[in-house]
Amino acid sequence: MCIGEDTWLHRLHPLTKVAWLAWLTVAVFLTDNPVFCWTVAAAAGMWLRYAGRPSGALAALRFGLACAGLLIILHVLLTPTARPAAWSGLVRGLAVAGRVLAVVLLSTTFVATTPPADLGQALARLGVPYRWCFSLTTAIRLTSLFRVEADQIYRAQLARGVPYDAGRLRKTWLLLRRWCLPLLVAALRTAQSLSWAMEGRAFGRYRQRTYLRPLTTGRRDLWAGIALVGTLIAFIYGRASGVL
Amino acid sequence: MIRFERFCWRYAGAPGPALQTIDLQVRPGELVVITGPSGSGKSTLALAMCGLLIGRQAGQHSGRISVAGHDVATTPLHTLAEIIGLVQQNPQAQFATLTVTDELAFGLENRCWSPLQIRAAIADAAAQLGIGHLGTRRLDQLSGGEQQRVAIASLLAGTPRVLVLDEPTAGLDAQAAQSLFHTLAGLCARTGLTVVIIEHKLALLRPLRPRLIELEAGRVVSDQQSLEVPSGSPNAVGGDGDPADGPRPQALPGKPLIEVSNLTVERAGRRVLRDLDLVVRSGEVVALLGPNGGGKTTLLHTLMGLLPAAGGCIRLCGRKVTSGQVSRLADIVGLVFQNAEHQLVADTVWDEIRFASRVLRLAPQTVDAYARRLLVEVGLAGRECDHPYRLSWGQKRRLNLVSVLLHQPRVLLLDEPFAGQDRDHAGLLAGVLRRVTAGEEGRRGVCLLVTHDARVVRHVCTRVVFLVDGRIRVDAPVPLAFEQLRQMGLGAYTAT
Repeated sequence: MCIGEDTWLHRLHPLTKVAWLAWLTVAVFLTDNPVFCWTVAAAAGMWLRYAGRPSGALAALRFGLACAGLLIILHVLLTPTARPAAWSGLVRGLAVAGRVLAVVLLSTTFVATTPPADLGQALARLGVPYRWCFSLTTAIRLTSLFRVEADQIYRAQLARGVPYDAGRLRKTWLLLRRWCLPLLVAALRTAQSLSWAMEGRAFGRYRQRTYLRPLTTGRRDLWAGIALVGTLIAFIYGRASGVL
Repeated sequence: MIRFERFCWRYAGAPGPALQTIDLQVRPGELVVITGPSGSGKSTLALAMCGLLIGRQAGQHSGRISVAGHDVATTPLHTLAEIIGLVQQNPQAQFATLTVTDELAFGLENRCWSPLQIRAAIADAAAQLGIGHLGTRRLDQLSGGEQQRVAIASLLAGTPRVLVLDEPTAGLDAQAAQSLFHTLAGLCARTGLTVVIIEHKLALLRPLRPRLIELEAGRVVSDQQSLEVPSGSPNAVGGDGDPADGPRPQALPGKPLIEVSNLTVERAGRRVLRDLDLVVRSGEVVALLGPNGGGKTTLLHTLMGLLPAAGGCIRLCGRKVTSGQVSRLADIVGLVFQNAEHQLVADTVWDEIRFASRVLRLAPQTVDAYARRLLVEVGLAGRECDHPYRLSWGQKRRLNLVSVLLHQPRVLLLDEPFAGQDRDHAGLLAGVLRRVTAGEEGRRGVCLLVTHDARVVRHVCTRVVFLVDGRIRVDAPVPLAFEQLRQMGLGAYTAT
């Protein structure tokens, strides 16, 4: 979640970042070239590092690398027959792994550098009703609340003697049986509280709303746009010439 | 400003009305405190005046409520919201955004104010609540008191004429609660804002001389205009003729049942408990007091093995505690959490109270009679077949407590078990606690009790441990500890 940091990436207009995210995600799926996919993944990794190592970045990197490693191994092992085939399996595996890693890191960078409120505002400017846009911020708020609530319920029941610290299978059954209802009740109560609090502050009264910090586009967005068009042209040329 | 005219409300499916023939008038600029036993209709009254009851909850009403001349039943909520704002018990659950500034601006953005107007209004609201320094901090990183102030400021920024607060200090320590009450009284006096507070902590409100309205069974039973809140208030434990009165457990030197040495606990990189040493002997009822974030709840959870210790040693009844073996401690430790609903695990009240004894495979013939007796004692007899979620909050709290008593654990760890209890029921609980720790049911036990209510401490506990920043600042018998706290300028913790 992006709060508090302020880098060049953070200051880009959310729609500029959406455009880059969409373009690079499509691009890595359009080519089987492992060099291109890994280059995009490396660039995303650098942007993430530049964004100030946000919380969750390391977990995303670990997840991406684990998936990538697994995919490479599977492609090498499952591509049939002898050495030339194994080589082609490795190349294919590297491309797929790079693709997955790129998507994971690109989306993590986007989330890490875009405040949900700004994204909501940008979408509202595009004509999406702001009540829908706000659901993103609300979801993030509620997620963190539910995580705390779920942990408290788990510990409270453990203290009552519910043997969650027994075997894994038994734990799953007990979680379904004992843990879900209190969590559901807590979720409903929280949602009701929140809806009262939002309506009590005129949420949804008007079709539009104003913003304390209206988003503006700047020169950096222009340069980012030019760079996007440049990479797009280079990609098309690469595809046409058979490099990509 | 607010007028109730013969207002009645009955929730759909409820056996009786929640509010009965309420005739009430609140004048502009008044500071009003509404109090009463749990289930007396206080929160329903708050919802009704804020327009969140009629037409929004299933039920029937008669009579009329008006706020600043607007009929609540026919006025759209967004129009009412410009006049009256409701601050709920849990500030976290009412935040719509992620940072302080965004939260303060939220209502004004929805009303289409310009950025310049918003900036001026939120600066003013933040200054009035003393939170100007919080700026763009994340809401989930604020203390409970700061969160409550942000919740109030986010409403104040929209310049309402009435503010209704439903138990705003429920999660706050005595000092934070006192400070919040003073801020609200100041707002009343300075700006002419009408403030209605639903509250149990009357001792802290006494110096502000508010108007006190008492509800009982949905009726207004007393309305004292600008009178001093009496010290024997209806929701406190103790006082003349209080059932909680009685012999306090004697701290005779007994066998140590809780032994903590050099305990250090870290959470999210922060040291919450630091080199803590504590010994509690059988028969002792120890009050854990201290500011929010001082480490009280963390200590209880660590004793139970729910949180790992970074250093030190814990022994309960001579048994070494390590995290990861929590359910195995259930036979000697009973832990009651702050939230009444978190610990409910069964489908009926009867199964709930017998749950631990079933897990521990105790013979039904040995526990059933005691279970029935406990249910009678805490006023839950006849509710055995009900689902625990059908009980009121106060009833759930009492069920929580008796549920951990049935198998007679020798160590009781209780996190605010008296919260939301009226005088009679708090007295019943106090009596049960005294008896259990005094060993009337068998061997003497110990009780560590987290509370923010000095009256409970005075009448139930033998000793006070005051925790600040994970360290024990005061550890003494109750009268001496209260004296020390007053000398340290922490008199709010001793206010009864």
